Amino acid sequence: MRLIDEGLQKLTSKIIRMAILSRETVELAVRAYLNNEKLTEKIFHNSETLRILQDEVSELAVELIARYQPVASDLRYIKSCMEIAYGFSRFGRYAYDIMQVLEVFGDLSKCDHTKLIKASETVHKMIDLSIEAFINKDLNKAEEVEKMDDEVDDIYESHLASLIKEKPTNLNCAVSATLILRYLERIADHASYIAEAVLYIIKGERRPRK
Amino acid sequence: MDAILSVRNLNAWYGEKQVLYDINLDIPRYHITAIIGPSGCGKTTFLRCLNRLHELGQGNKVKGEVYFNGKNFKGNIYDPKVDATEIRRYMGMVFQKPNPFPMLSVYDNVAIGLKINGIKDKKKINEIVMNSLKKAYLLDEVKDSLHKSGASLSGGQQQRLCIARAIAYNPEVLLMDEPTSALDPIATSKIEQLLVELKKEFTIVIVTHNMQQAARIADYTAFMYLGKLIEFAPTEELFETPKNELTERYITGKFG
Repeated sequence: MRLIDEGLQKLTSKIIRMAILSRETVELAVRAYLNNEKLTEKIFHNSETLRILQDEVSELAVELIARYQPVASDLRYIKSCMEIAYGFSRFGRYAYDIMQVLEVFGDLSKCDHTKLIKASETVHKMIDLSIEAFINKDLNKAEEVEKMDDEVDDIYESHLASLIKEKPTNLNCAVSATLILRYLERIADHASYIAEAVLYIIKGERRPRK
Repeated sequence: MDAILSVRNLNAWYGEKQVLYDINLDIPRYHITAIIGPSGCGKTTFLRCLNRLHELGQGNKVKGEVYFNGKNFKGNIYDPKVDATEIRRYMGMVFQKPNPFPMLSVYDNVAIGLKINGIKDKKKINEIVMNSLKKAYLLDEVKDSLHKSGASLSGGQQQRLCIARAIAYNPEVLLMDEPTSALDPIATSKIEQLLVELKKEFTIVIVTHNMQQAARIADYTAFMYLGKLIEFAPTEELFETPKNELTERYITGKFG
């Protein structure tokens, strides 16, 4: 085992901890919204933990660069870990934003959730796939995530189009759904950035961002 | 790519033992090319084939071509009609251990090559010596001790003196065999800065054990293993996304 390997393993375990926590946090936020559950504190706490973990990942990454001057796959891995950690911390932040919508608008459990449920299911799948792609260095799963990003974009855009067309009477439902779909759409973007970072680890290719 | 040297199917032997196998490589003009690889991979031998030094060893043999596209010479340096000493004049060489002539002064260490090559005009010699010392970032440090022995300088200064000596005859290519491995980090960093400056005028090929050095200063890096050229690429590419699994394993330290 090389000296750098211990540091890389530490980095991996921090990322995996972030993956599990951020996935759970997004799930909690969507659940709180659909069922009008009070989970603000828990979500806030998770989101803070994710932010702290992201800082720890950055610090460890910089330390590994300073100590070992990594190159090739080591360097790509460290760079990607920093980006992936940022992605996971964004998941936490958007989960918190979703929670804030609930705080502002009160009970929204009577609204029509069809689009939102569909979007959140896709987002959950994207999060799972991006985590699996990272852990197993799985090229196919990473590519799948990138494709799914379009589905969430479509739901969000068609929602906006329908708002303009239908002039909704229940503003609380319409505005809150818009905000939450927007946050889900952002989470989906970050899931696909994570997938891109995994592709970069494996193949060294960088793709232009959409 | 504007190649100053094009190596084609180069093979080399120490007696019966083959140490280079079918090397094909273009050395780009006015750039720094670094050669990296584990000990015994043939990188020094390769360097010494570029100026026909290798064949001087008893029983040593070279097969293949090296096309040199220089100002005063164009063609295969291994063509039987070519005079090897002429080729060596176009390619300055700097070795691992600074080797100034200890009996000669700082000044004469640089002037000697010019004198041997028949330049008699003292004014001209003086001009070239001063200019070479200046280009080697050494003049300011030795201007008051030009007539002291070359051996009285520090290790880093001695190595810069050897570089001044190598460039005095205005070669087109500088071949460097681990020129900083005997120096401390500060002296090393000075030489590295100097090399990056010198590539404006010369083409530099440097053999180095220090991968970070290749990463810092080389425009192109070649990785050799067991006498073969495994990969040659722009330095940032080789160190970020090496194409060959062997390169990846060597530069990340996963070898053996």
